[in-house]
Amino acid sequence: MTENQTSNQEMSFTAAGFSIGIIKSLPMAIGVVPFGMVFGVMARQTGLGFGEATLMSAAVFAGAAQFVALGLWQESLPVLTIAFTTFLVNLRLVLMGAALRPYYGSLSSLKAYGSMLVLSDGGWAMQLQEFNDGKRDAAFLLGNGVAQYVVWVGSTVSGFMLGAAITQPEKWGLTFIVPASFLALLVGMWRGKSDILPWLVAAIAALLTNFAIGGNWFILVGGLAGSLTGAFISHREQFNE
Amino acid sequence: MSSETILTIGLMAAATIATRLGGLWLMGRVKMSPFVERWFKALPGSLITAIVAPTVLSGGLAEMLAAGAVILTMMKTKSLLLAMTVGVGVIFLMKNFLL
Repeated sequence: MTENQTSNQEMSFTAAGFSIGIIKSLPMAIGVVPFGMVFGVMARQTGLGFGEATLMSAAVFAGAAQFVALGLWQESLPVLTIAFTTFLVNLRLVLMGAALRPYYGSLSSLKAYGSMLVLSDGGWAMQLQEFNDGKRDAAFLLGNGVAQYVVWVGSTVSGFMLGAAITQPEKWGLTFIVPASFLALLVGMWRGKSDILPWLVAAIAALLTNFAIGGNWFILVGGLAGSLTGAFISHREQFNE
Repeated sequence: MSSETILTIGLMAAATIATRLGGLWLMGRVKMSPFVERWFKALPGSLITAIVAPTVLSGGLAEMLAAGAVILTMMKTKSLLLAMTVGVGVIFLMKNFLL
């Protein structure tokens, strides 16, 4: 990434940067709307109340993790499984935050960590693009994040309310929404042939665990088996090259 | 709202905030090993694969066809919304007219 060309220049954190962050995030925010609405609809069908669905979007603000939590949701809540799975799904944010250290390290803790509170995949990518273009205003990420946050919570609310109109979700194929969104996300995450083996291992481990143990262990077992496979093979590739 | 639900959402929020703040914080203190870095990068895709695998592979013909339709649509159009709509549409047609 950009570690070697990091800022010798002074970083700034201005209201103008914040506004540009909001404006440039709008196309992306429009893309977030259907996703948030689907979350609202699914949350209702999973049995969450209006307050619960809204609270989750407002407090967690992490789409993939929230969908995964719905997949694990049941009458007697597996509290720790959901919490730990959320942590694993969001581990990528640790990497993203780490990549921003060269830029945000020199800012005050309030500005730096305040910005990280609304860190998202899209906002991160756009902020790095700004830095690569030579811009030095770190408030962009905060503006982008605040805009996405408002859109995310708002679309969850409207999706939940629309969900009242849908009474027989299986009949309409709507129970396939979450798997469909995951498959589409996976296609977006595809980086090349090096993903085949880890994902295959993840799928097989998940299937076997699902048959053998049941419960929700298949997610953790499959996810860990696949990702460790990925870490090992890219490790070997590096030394063979 | 049950206290269990609030606890669950609270822990989810705490876990997410830890990951959001953790990278910036850690980088000021330790150097992440390349292995851990690759492991983190591989996590989201593997987790999502693990989540969908049982639904798709032990579902039925409708689920498998719909999964294929979602993947193809996403590859062609890169539109999340369109891909999901096509997937749901295939399930709808299969369950209502063909099976």
